Amino acid sequence: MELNKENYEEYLLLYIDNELSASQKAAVDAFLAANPNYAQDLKDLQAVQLNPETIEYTDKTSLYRFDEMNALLDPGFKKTLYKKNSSSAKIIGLKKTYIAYASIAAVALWLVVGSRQLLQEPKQLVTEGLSTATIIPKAKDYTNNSVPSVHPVERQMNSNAGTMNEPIKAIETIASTSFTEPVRYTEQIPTIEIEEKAGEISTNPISSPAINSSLAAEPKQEKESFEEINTEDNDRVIYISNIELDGDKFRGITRRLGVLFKRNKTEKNK
Amino acid sequence: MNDIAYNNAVDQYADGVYRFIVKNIRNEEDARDIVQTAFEKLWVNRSSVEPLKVKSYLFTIAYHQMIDHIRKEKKYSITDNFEGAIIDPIYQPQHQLKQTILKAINELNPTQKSLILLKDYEGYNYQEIGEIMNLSESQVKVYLHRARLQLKDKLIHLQKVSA
Repeated sequence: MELNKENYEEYLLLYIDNELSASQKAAVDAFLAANPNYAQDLKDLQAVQLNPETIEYTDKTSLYRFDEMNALLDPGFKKTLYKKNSSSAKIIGLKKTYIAYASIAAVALWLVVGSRQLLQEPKQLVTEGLSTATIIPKAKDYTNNSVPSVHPVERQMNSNAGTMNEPIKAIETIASTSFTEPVRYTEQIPTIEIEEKAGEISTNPISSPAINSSLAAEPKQEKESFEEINTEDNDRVIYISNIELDGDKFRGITRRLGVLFKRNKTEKNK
Repeated sequence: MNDIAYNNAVDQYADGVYRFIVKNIRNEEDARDIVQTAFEKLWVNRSSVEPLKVKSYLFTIAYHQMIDHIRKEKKYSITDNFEGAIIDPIYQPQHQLKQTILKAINELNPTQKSLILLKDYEGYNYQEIGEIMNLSESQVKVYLHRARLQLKDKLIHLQKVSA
């Protein structure tokens, strides 16, 4: 690079425009040092240069944009977002609702089962006694409606007691056997009805206080006397039956859930 | 380019783009409109604009918007522009020499003015200016040098007249 009177102006312009390399800048500086009369030209050119001044664009926030806002403003963009997420989002949404329904149903069922269990526990203790009580009305029906049906029982009782044909005597023997032989208790249940019936007529010292008392009192008495054996028997049944019931219900829940999930799967596959 | 990068670009370049335009057209409201349009276009094309080219992209859009604006303004009335030049608050003189220079700059055509503004204010090199103004590097050099010498001559002439 050679600076001379012909080309120096261009180099001065490149100099102020900062378009020269370090070596070129040094060459210009050297040329101006050697030719001070050209230094004024540089000063004049620098004088017409603009000094950067700060002009602020007020309220820049008006230019701000946000993706979410754009999603609301731009329907096209919103569509693309919807398309992207709709297929999976819908399935997830359905799943969530199904799961929610299923969980609510499960909880409800559990509560129902649990509450029943809780209620049943004391009830069943009563029904141990009531098992006789529940049978009693049936027996009552037997005795009240159909007399012949009572007779076989009587006969059975007679056969047990011996050869006595009179109901009162039979009751006596039943009362005695029933107290002494708790195993026969179930068999004796219908006979209690007879007892009741006969009790009204008879004046049996042993059976009359129990028989003459109300129906509710009867099982209570029996309960007191046969509590141990009855609870054992019934407990087993109830305990086992409860588990069975629970198992069925849980199976039902799992089946329902399974069906729901299968539906989802089929929907997915579709 | 996500919305965060875009909003950063607003913070970084809005002032510069606005200064470049308002110095050219000397109408604050129109300049704001042009800046707004430039950023709108950046937002729309944010996925295709390279992060390093954001500033020159904004200046390019703003420059061409401004050229369109000037053409429209010329169609309507020339006196409007002239009046605007007189009232313009940005060109309040701070001292005599500066006023003289600014007056001389205002007499330059939009291309020359843009060349000087992009060079002196933004510090772009010839190549970058060429990209923004859709000119070749040599064209930028020739036009810019011509503008500078023109200003220099005017300044010398005015100094001689005043002196």
